[in-house]
Amino acid sequence: MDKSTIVCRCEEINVDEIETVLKMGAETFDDVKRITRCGMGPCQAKMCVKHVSNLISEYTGKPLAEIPPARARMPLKITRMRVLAGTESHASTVKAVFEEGDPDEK
Amino acid sequence: MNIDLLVVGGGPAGLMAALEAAEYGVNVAIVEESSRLGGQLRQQTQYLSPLPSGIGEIRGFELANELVEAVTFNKHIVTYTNHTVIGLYEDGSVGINNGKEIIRCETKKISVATGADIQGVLFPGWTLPGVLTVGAAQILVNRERVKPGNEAFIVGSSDFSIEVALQLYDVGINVLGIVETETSLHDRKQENLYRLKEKNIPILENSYIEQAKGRGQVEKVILNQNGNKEEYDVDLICVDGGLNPVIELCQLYNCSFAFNEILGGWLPTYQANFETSTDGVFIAGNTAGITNQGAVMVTGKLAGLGAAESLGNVPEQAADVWRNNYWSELAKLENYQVNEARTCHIQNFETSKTKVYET
Ligand SMILES: Cc1cc2nc3c(=O)[nH]c(=O)nc-3n(C[C@H](O)[C@H](O)[C@H](O)COP(=O)(O)OP(=O)(O)OC[C@H]3O[C@@H](n4cnc5c(N)ncnc54)[C@H](O)[C@@H]3O)c2cc1C
Ligand code: FES
Repeated sequence: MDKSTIVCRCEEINVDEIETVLKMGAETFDDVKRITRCGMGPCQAKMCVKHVSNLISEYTGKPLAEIPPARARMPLKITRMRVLAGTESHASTVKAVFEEGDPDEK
Repeated sequence: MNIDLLVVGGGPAGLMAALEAAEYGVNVAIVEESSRLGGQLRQQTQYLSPLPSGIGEIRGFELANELVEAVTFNKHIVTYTNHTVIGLYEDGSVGINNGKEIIRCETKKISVATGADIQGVLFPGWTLPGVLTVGAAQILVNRERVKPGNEAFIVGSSDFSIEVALQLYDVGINVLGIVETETSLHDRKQENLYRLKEKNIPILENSYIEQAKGRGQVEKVILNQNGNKEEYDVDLICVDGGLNPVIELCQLYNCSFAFNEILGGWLPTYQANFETSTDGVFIAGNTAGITNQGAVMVTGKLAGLGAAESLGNVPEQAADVWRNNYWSELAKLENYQVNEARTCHIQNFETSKTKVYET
């Protein structure tokens, strides 16, 4: 395949860049990620992890069963900073679990 | 509200898990990231088969409606749409984003039914607008009523992509062919292959897309078939690189994982009651291995039953009887190879407790 083919579309990383880090000794998706930013885009590796694993497998000759998936971390999905920090009125309060009839909800 | 079981994901697996557990009086909350329940069934217009006994001929979205209704009127179940699980806190509570803030939810048991991701296919030009996954094309056509193009190639010939090819044809998209690298098409549904013939959609074996080209969007594609290259004018390429279980939440729970190609790659190890290596964490549906919709429903029942049993709401003996019934139903519904792989995956539960990642 053409070496300029994009593998990670969020971060625009191509086959050539991935192969370069494989030559440097990268063995897992997370290795590739730390060096290239591949997998650190808005989709958080959902679209590129399998392609990268395939490339690693081709390059190293290891079966896919020996190439661990990307490590997931919180937050699992795109989350607004405002939401993570809590809204002003709720700042630093831990909301009761599924409180019913929250006036802010209305 | 007092939650015994939190179900993450409101697709067929999650809904069935909730309904099953509620049968035994378990208080269930379902959280669903999107604005509606039903998961991927929502855009499936084809008649589903095979389905669990007792369910007649029905289309995917109709089945979704029935399940959603059953859940909505169940007094033991509350549902939260537009609520996304984003992770776990140190105290074990589950972080849920409702768009305004993070709710910390405490629950006794959790059932992860977050479905599967569709993978793309790599070729030069695959990032051009006009290249979509077959799943995205199906959502556009059947749910959003948007016609994504006029002249199309489909890449990958799973039953799923064949179904989408037929659905694209039905809305007036000219499907030039289904591109398949393999040369043998074992295991495809015969009626689907028959319908392809009827509509004159060829499966192009031993072929792949060499390149997609265009200014700002797909305009041309170079197809390599049996080593011969040919260029076609198309504005739509729908790719199916296979489905992979969505396992992120299970990673946060430090479940152990094993690789099983037939079940879709990396997935949590689990037992016959669909409980993972982490106490109280159950999985269901495509998260527990890629299979057909009927089987997905039964895995939901198994996970719901397992959770109800571990909460003490079902005596062990009764649970065993039901579990055996569901397992035989599962064996009837799903592809033989998939069922075999699943059985193997479960038998390996003890030995395959290799924790791949440590934080
Ligand atoms: C786009 C698409 C189209 C498909 N079409 C077909 C088809 O035509 N034929 C076929 O046989 N199979 C198809 N499939 C396979 C499909 O996955 C199964 O048919 C079935 O829907 C799987 O059920 P499930 O309950 O396991 O997952 P899903 O139906 O995917 O349900 C999972 C639910 O979990 C929710 N969710 C995920 N993560 C979170 C989170 N962190 N917090 C809260 N909610 C969350 C999702 O929004 C989703 O509603 C399709 C898959 C996809 C992705
Ligand atoms: S495609 Fe790599 S992070 Fe999105």
